[in-house]
Amino acid sequence: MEKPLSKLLPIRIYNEIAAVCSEDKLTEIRLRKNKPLSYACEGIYRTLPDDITVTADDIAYVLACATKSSLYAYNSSILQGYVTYEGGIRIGLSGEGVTKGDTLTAIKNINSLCIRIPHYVEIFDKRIDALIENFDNTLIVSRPGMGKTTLLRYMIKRLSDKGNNMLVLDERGELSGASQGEYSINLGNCTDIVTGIPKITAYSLQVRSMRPDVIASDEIFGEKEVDCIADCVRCGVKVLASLHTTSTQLLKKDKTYDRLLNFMRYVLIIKGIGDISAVIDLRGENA
Amino acid sequence: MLDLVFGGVLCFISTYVGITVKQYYDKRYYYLRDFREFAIALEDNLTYAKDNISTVADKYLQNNKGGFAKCLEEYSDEIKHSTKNDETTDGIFNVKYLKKGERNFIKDFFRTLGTLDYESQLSRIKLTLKESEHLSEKALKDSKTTGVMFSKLGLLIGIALMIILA
Repeated sequence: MEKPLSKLLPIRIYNEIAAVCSEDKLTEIRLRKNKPLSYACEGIYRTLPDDITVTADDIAYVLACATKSSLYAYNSSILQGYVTYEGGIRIGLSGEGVTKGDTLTAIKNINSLCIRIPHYVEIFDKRIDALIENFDNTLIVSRPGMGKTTLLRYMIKRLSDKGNNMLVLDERGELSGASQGEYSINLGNCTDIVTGIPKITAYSLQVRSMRPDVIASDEIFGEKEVDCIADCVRCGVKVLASLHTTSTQLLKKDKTYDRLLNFMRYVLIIKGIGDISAVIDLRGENA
Repeated sequence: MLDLVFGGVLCFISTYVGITVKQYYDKRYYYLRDFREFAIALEDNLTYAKDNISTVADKYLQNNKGGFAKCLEEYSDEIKHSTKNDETTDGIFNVKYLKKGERNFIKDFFRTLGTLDYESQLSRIKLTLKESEHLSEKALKDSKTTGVMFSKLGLLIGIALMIILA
């Protein structure tokens, strides 16, 4: 089967990257107009030599492939700053905003792309095994690009395999590798996946209709989502979620997210893919 | 007798030329009409379902055949195989029986199709619809006047040649 990246990238760029990093180790590719190509291989960022410069045509090619030459059909997703592609590849984009009054109506002259390639990684850590055995509300924290989503994916599968009814709120299709109704990443037999629905809407709709044991959400964002999580916990649904931050100290100082510490039992702090620096039991001691 | 046969052949050739010219005008009209119908389907789809171009094209192709449908099928295949670019688009829509301005108008539309955001794409289609209405009306008029005139002229010249030779 043809690998998604080989279809998505211009052949010149694909060959350059394939020569230095195999696709199963590649986690991110960054294309910036008139700048050298950079990529992350096993989470480590590198830049190709200056002579391999990304052109406007390269960016247009990737966008045309990702949107099947139908940019207009992806407008709502583009307005949120990303497009999803086969295999759960998420393409973050930035460019020039077009507004009508206070409303953003389009992004034109897109000049930077951040292509993130999802992988399912087995994580061998006894602390995670123990946490799965006695699961309770868990928050995974780290700075961006350290493997929160990877750990979340692994834990969802493990919990699902244990027979928990998992509800995955995967708005961007990144956790499940969703594209055109197909999921390229197996998140377990007891997992229900919601894609394309804004998370805030999905919380209220799906918690009632799908009756999950555990609800999983990647990258908690904003006060409204914290409110939704509080509602879920009140209803007796366990929560597994991730958040961009580096420590519980920072979290305590944050007026929006500090409430999460009241609901969560465990906080996992990670410093790299599969590399967990601390598992904090908020009701007890470090695990 | 030989003159009559020769006259008959000339009459046939002349009529054939006349009909061919008429077909040229008809093809041009059908092409522009079908292009307009596709643009209408695209506008409808954009307003509601927002399907990608290949899907809209496939739906259109289920019920339509002809010169434009062939070009559209090729264009849709280029998209599906990620090989669509300005060059391939120009090649596909380089239709000989269209006037240069009409060809460029259609090529330009398909070159930019799918590269614009929703609002811009919709307004581009609306403008295209306006212009294509004018073009297909003109083509229909040409077909009814010039095309019919050539076919009749072909027949008349043919009969005249046959009479002269007889």
